[in-house]
Amino acid sequence: MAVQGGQVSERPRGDEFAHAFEAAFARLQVVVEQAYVSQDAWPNQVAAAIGAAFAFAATDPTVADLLTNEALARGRDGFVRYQRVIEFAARLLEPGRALSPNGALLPETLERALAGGIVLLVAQRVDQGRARELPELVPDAVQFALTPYLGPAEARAIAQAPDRR
Amino acid sequence: MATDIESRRDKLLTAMVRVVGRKGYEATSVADVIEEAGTSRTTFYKHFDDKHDCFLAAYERMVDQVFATIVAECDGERPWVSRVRKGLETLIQIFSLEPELARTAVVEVAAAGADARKLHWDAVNRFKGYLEAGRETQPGKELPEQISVMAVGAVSGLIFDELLADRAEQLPELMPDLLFAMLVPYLGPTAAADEMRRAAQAA
Repeated sequence: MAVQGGQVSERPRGDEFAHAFEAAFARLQVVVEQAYVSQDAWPNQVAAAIGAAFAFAATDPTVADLLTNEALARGRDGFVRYQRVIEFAARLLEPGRALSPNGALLPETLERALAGGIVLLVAQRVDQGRARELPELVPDAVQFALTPYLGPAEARAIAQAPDRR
Repeated sequence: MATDIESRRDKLLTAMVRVVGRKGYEATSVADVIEEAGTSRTTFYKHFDDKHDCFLAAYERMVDQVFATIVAECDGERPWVSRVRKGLETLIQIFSLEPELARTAVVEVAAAGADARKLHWDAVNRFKGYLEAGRETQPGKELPEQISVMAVGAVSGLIFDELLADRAEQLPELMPDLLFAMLVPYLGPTAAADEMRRAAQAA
């Protein structure tokens, strides 16, 4: 038995974990991609995707825990699955390079780094039973994700848009 | 005598970090740790209740030691950007010279249960606190409240990838990228890229 986010849950084993992870990851991808394509401009697409991912984690912290902390507790199989979550998030950020006046300056590891930072914030809140706070943190995560591409001022303006708060 | 007892405990803690880094937390047994430390089972159970108890003590001591080394190396550095660069260099040097320690610190801790993850979050918060002074370097800019925890996550994520690919020894080559990831949320892309170039030239 494990206590996560104030809820008691059975810890899935082996194949059970693999199936649960894949189902959860598929759900996350659908929710996030729908939010992403609902916007026209890339900065707003990123903001919508982060908002959807944080709402997903806040609504179902057990599933969010499975995709982050539980995956990391599973050894190599879990690590590889966790890295797919990071890669998924990183791919959504890549179009920012072409739109950015700073594109040529950016290291090739940037998107994975940004995704890692945002996912760690989610994992920490979920593990501490504070997943319901995540929607309030969307503006912070949006500004963090957009700053390398747009610079701090423009990233903040998009992060602080009224519909983000 | 007290020193001798302390020394045996230290040996067990060091052995735990090494063995877990090599074999993984799940696969590590008390017998492995005893063999690595060159002590007896009786000595192990004199100091610890079980493997988990020993791991928690080992992890806590490891974080204290790494953090103390970083602070000692860069406390005199001014300004903040220089302190961050020196601190990151020190961390990367420790991890590249001691891949087993790095793997225990960044990768395996998650497998050791909720108590271990709590220690890990405490460690993240210590590094986060270290970065918080970066806000003062950017007067007038409104930086996100969660900026430092995400900056730590960005760097630890890249290190995690390298360790998983068994490239701990190559971590110093990644120093420019790591520095950019840590600084860009505070400085913006142009100034962070300048620091990245300096780090690449220094390497």
